[in-house]
Amino acid sequence: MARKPQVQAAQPWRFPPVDETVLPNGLQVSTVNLPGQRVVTMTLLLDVPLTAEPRQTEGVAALAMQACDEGTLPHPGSELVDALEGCGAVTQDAGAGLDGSTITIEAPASRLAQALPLLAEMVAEPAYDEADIQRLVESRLLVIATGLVSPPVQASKALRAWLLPTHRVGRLLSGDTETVATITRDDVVAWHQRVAQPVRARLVLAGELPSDVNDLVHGAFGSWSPGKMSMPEAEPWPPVATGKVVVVDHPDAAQVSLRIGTVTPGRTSSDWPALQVANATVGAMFGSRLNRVLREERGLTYGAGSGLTSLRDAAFFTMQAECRPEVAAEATSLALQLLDLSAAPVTPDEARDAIAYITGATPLHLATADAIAAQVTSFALCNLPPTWFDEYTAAARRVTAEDATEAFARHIQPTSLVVALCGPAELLLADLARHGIDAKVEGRNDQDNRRSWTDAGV
Amino acid sequence: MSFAMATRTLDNGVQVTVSRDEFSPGSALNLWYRVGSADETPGSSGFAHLFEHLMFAGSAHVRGDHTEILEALGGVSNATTNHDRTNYFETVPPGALPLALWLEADRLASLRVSGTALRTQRAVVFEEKRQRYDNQPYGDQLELLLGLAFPDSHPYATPTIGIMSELDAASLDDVRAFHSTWYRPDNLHVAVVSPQSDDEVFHLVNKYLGDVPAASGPPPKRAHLDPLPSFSNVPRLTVRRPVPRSVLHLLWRTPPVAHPDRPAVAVALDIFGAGQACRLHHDLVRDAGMAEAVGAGDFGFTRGTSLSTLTVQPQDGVELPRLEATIVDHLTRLANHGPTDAEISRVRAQMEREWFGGLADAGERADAINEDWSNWGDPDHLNQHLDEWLAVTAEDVARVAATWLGPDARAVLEYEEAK
Repeated sequence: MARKPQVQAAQPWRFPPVDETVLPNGLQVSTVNLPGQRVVTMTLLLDVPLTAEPRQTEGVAALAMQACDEGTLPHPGSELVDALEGCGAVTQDAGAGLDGSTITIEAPASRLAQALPLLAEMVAEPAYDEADIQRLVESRLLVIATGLVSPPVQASKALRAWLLPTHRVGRLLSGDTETVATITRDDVVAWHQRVAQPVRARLVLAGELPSDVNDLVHGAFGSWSPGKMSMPEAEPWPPVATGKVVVVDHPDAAQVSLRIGTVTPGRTSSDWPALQVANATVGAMFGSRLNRVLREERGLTYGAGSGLTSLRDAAFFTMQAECRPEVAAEATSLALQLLDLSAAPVTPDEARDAIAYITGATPLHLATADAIAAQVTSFALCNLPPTWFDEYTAAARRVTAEDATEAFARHIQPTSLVVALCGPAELLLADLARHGIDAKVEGRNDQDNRRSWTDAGV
Repeated sequence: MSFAMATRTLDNGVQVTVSRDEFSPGSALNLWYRVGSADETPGSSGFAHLFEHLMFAGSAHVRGDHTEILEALGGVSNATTNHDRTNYFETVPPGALPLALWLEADRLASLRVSGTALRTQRAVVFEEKRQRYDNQPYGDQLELLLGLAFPDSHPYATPTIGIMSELDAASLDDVRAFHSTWYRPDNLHVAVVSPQSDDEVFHLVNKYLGDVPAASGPPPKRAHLDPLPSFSNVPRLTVRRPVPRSVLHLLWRTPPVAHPDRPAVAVALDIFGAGQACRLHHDLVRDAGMAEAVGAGDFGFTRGTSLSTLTVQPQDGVELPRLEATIVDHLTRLANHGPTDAEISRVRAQMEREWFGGLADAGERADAINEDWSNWGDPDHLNQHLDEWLAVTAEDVARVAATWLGPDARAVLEYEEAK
């Protein structure tokens, strides 16, 4: 057997250059030329906070994006998808996040000139036919209903709801049953008129691009009328609930879905690189502490991990695992111990491995046009320049084990965490109590119960 | 556009294809062992996949931290099992390619699994089954479709994840026997997509994987599966489940992946059920208001018989028999009249995007090389694959619609919402 080889240090990877221009109508354009990437990803981003949605029609923002490919004024009805799919393009994603709404299409690089004007139509001149809106409302209601019989979906929803009971992000971003059911065509048209303006929009293109790409963009989007709008600023994040353990009763669940979370500073924070290094040690890698203990040593789960999802002004830290009901309390107890870094600080070896993973593996996930477009879009959503990524990885290389432990312990304190479990409540409450964890069952549609929890928590 | 490839066979029987990609940030190493769950002995269903987990449990010079070693170098690593093959793959910074090859060579040459590792990974697999199937709404559809499509004793009749009571019996002797039978250099195909030169990659692969001793005796013989006849008399399975909306599946026994009719079957399925411009979306979802969503799929089986499906979820209040009758009309119409020129043109354009999108990542491309190599006996088939799809004509589609996707050749799974 040949001897174990030495590894040559990797060259630092740099984020590909992003060219930025602004059209006369105010549309910002980010293009990334990626030779060899024969499929181009195109994302149109509207910089509009979800907190601007009317409370009673929440979900209208997502619906307004999703209905864009159901027909346009120049291509009514199915003519639009016939044209779109006829040139090899497809809608990959459409929806609304807390900080902005997006629609993403992909097309073969050879057909970019045909696809771009269609994306422009979809955003600027959607037909919003009454029947299409009604169908998409029904479709969204079915997605919500399916989530109600899915323990993982219920647990994730409960965690957000309990962390931020009064904020928009604590509710389903695409709207819940009561709000979606009320949405009419008029609501969608009114929302679109209010928000779909080039001055609040950015077009992101990534892939193998032709040299005249800016002319193509101008030809497709140049006539989009600048319009006028006044958009309310995003609501500030309220204080976050802390120190709760809630159970959503699902007596027949084959597994318990465990979620543990809190809110931390986001990517704009100087603590972000250290938080990421600590999180890699705790839960972002296969070899992280959570997966090593809960899966590889104990066989309690197929996988346990944690992640940091950054929005513009904050980030969600979420730990998750699915495990059989009889070991769920044990897994919860172990996970809470493993999230307490003050008891077991990040070691220098762990910090070294975590930094190598972040700086080495992240570029491997950014090798394709769709991944680069998603990153550039997320930079814009977080108000970060495209140079941010290289600054972040450089900062991550300088993080020490002490930095990582300190940042994690400060922002993710064991006493601040909210725990949500979905599974058989009777069993869970008894088992959790045996592990010294005091839990409550979430009342279904019990607003009073929820309010008292909130008051106690913040 | 074609991908450059070079292929060699090492002295111990390992076969290697190298495809240089100067733009890739990482080196993608992809190994196919030609064994899948369809090659399991009766009564040990799920073992091939459990074994895949155990390949990470340790070898002579590695203490069960294969993935962790690569992560600490900025790499990623995983493996999957299906009915026809098991693949192991890692994408690493180019300087770590030698180490990735050394790790693969060590577990090929000297797998070491403890009783504790076997028990723990068996528990992990039980949790995997619960997470991916048992605890998901509609999670038993795969099992029901395969059970309906294949006779009980057929190797494709059971999902790869297997039957948990049969996994209970797995022993360390079974692990050793499976490794010595299937995990041998002459049953291994390696694809590398990497920014390094071909010569450098061949040198590295030979240095590490070429150092594994050749196996003795003839290579393992895989189960040959004869084609099954098309369905007759419309086999039908109706189940009721606690889900918010029913789902209707129509399924057909179709030719395996490398069969000459496959490209035309793929085009026909796309004309029915891919995207929003397809016939079923246009007519059932948009115009008639009967369906919530439609889809078309194929299981991609490689031996004897594959399985193609059309799946429709009704709108609220629409009964499944009415939906089924409408789809049957569509099947007849495509077989009798064929597709329009616009449909052929659209599907070709969509296939071009899907093809290049699916190969955009070096790791995905290395896996695709191995897939074509396994199915067509030639890794360079990857460079003809799209052309074969684009050559499908309207007449081909009409012919396969009548031959393989006829109304009388269907089976039906009615997955009904329990009221």
